[in-house]
Amino acid sequence: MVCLFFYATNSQAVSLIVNDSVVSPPSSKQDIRNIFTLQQNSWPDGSRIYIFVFPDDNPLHQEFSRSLTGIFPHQYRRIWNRYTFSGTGIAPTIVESESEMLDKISQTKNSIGYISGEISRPDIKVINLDFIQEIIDE
Amino acid sequence: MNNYFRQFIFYVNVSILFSIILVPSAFAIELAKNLQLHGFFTQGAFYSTDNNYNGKSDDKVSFDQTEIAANIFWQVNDRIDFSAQALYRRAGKVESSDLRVDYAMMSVNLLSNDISRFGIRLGRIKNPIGLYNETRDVAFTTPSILLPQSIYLERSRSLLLSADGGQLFGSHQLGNGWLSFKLNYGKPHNDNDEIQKLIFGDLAQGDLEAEDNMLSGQIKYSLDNDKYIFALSYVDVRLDYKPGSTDILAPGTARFTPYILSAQYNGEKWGFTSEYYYSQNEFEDYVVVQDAFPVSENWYLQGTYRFSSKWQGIVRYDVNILDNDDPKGKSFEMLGLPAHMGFTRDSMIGLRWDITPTIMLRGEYHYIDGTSWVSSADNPDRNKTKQYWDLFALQLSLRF
Repeated sequence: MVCLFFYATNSQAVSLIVNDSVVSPPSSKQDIRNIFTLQQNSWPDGSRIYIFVFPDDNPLHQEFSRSLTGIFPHQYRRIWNRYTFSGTGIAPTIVESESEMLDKISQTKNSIGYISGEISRPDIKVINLDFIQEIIDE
Repeated sequence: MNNYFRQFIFYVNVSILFSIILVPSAFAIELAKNLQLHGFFTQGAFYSTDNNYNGKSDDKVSFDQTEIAANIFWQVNDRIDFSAQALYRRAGKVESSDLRVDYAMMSVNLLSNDISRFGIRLGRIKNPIGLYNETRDVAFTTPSILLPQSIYLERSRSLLLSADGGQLFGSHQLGNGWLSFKLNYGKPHNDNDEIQKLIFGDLAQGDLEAEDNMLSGQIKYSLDNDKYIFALSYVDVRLDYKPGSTDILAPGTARFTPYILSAQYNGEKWGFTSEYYYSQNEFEDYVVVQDAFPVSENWYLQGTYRFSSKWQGIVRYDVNILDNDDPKGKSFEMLGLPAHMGFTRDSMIGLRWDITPTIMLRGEYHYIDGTSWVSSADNPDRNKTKQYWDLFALQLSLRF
């Protein structure tokens, strides 16, 4: 069934996850940023992207924002507010816990989110983030 | 507005405030993955050494700024969205108490993939003017309590805010950024008392109204996910004057065609923003008043510094000149009005405190030279206004 492996030594390592239905997940840092800043709201096949995030002041959200995307939570919020209050877009859905995140990602087609540590389960794809490391190393 | 009604509105505000604070923030935000409800509440307080801003602020504290909004966004399917927002607003005597549909539209995504978007919106749509017009009433999205009046004049807020019609929109990934455009065409609202008062004073008995559709559009290049933003906006709006029964003015027209250049840098700690406004204005065919074609040139320079995730400071210098050929306002003097109606130079400093991600408090101080953007409704006798004045403002805003 569902197996969860968390790396206890590095609890703040962030894994980017998508629902199993996502055919072309992000393959660059720019892709991730385009999605989470709502610049890109559809996958390449035209289906909508559903985004799940933790609250702005959640440590994992801060880690995700800064380390993985290089954009600060307050910068994301400013961008999301502009869409939310002009009727031109839908802000990412906020989840309060990692188990809720896993539930949402596994139940929502075309969804994307992130968790701490690593997991292995059939209904969720973990995105290989080697390309991020290359960028940081530069 | 009578006192009882004022009190009633006050208690309504207070109760809404408490209900928003007490209800957990997660409450009604996501009804489903494709349906969201959001809203905000904003209350301001103003004190000035002279001249009134948002109510009777001259040597008193005015609380005459309240904004309450609720909106819904519904993704019907991969192509179609519906969205609408209701806004209650009170701003001095300019807007005494007004509940209206802020926007209500259907968006159709004709093309949407990982590098391009193109579509059309129909309904009441916000006009894309400069960096802030589309969300100018949303405190969380604006840099300060008073928007830079060089570009976002309160006087023309109602005219330029939105239009009932359509919008073409599109964006395309280009290099490290996104090139996007919006083109709006539709009928603006008609609440142009402040514009009319400034042009004609008490001379006019009729109404200045937009009968034709207005055009507004913006081309924007956003680099590195909004780290750098460059935009050019354009507006073309025409008003027709309908004389009153004993009016001495003929049915003339007024036309405004501003260009706005915007540039913004959003760093980790520092932010810099500048916008420049150039408008050719035409006032024609009033017969008793000479035709006039003044050019207005306005600009501001703004810097922000983020001390921490919760604290941010701001400074700005903001210049508004109504007629480039008359920067000292001599034409107003000739009409027996104060020359300082022709310009305003506003130096401001402010501090914003994001208490939580959904509650924000900010304060600012303005040192102001000129009265070109103070409202006639709050300052009915222009000869009592002073050229040099100080303005203190405080604002609380909550969102869900």
